[in-house]
Amino acid sequence: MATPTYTLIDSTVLGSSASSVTFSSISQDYRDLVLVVELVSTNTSFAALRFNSDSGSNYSNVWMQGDGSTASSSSQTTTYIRGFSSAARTNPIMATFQIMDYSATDKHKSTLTRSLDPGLSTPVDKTVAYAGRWASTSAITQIDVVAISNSYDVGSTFYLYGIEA
Amino acid sequence: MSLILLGILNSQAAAAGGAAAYDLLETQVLTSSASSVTFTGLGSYTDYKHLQIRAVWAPTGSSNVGMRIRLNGDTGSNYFHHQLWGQSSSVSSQGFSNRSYWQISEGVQGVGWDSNVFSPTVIDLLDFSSTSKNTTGKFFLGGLNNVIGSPHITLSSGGWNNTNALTSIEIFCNGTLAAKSRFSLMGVK
Repeated sequence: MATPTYTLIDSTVLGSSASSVTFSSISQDYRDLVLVVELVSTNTSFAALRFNSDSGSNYSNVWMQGDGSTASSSSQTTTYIRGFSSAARTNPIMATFQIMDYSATDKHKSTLTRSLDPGLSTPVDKTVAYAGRWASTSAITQIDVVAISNSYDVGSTFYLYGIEA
Repeated sequence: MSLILLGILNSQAAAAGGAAAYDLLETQVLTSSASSVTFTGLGSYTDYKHLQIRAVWAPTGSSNVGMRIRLNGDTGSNYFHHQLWGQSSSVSSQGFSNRSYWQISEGVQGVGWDSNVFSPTVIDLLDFSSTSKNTTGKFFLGGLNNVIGSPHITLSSGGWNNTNALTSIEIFCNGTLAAKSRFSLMGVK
């Protein structure tokens, strides 16, 4: 029996600048989440995800990127799931996060992300693919989208979808 | 300032109108290790144009293996695929033709390293019921549990030199799929 899914759980459009956006009390009725973020930021900011308010160094990221002339890859263990980083700019930047098995309690949480990532130093627009892992078996009940430094500007959008799977 | 969104509900689910276009069809969660996972009877899903498989998986043991896909049980040399992956500081690419399966990634390390670590994967199979053109797929995989080398991120795509409509999809690896691995088949209209 087919089950319609890809359900919009919640969304917001910033009417004033904010240093973070929090989705809390997330329903456990789904298996995966998709978070679509498009940011306007006239100052340095990140699209960084933290789960269940965990700000410890429990997140690992690996990514590859290309800017039209060169391609590179890197990885890090840090305090957030990485979506992009950007210096101040007028054009929006975006990331789509696939958060897999978020409600499971028998495995670490993993993510797949595609983004436009200008970067912080000598910013150049790049297309980036990320994979991330939160080293916790807890079900995700809260997601903080954190700017890390500075804030997101008016007009930034955040859409959270649930997928039964 | 922090904007807090409380009371997450499904109230906006159908607000946009129109028929649902993305459905869960089947899910298989391994309760014990298995050599493969197969979705069969795809001919009953012709209401859909495309298929997507959302997987969170790992092999058993601790050695590196790659995820593989075979269509309609075809073991002939009828598959080609290309991979683009980032690992350590470099991005690499490779391609293969005349293979007997799609290999959508190289080295994903097994739960022998860490039984909690599974690799996320999204597989898209396009126009799967067409009988007028060969079948194509694209793949997105994070090899998170790889410590023999290092974690990697892989984008890949492939073609199956056959115009038959898909009737089955077999997912396997050059090892054994670990318990707790999950594979969900989604239909896209």
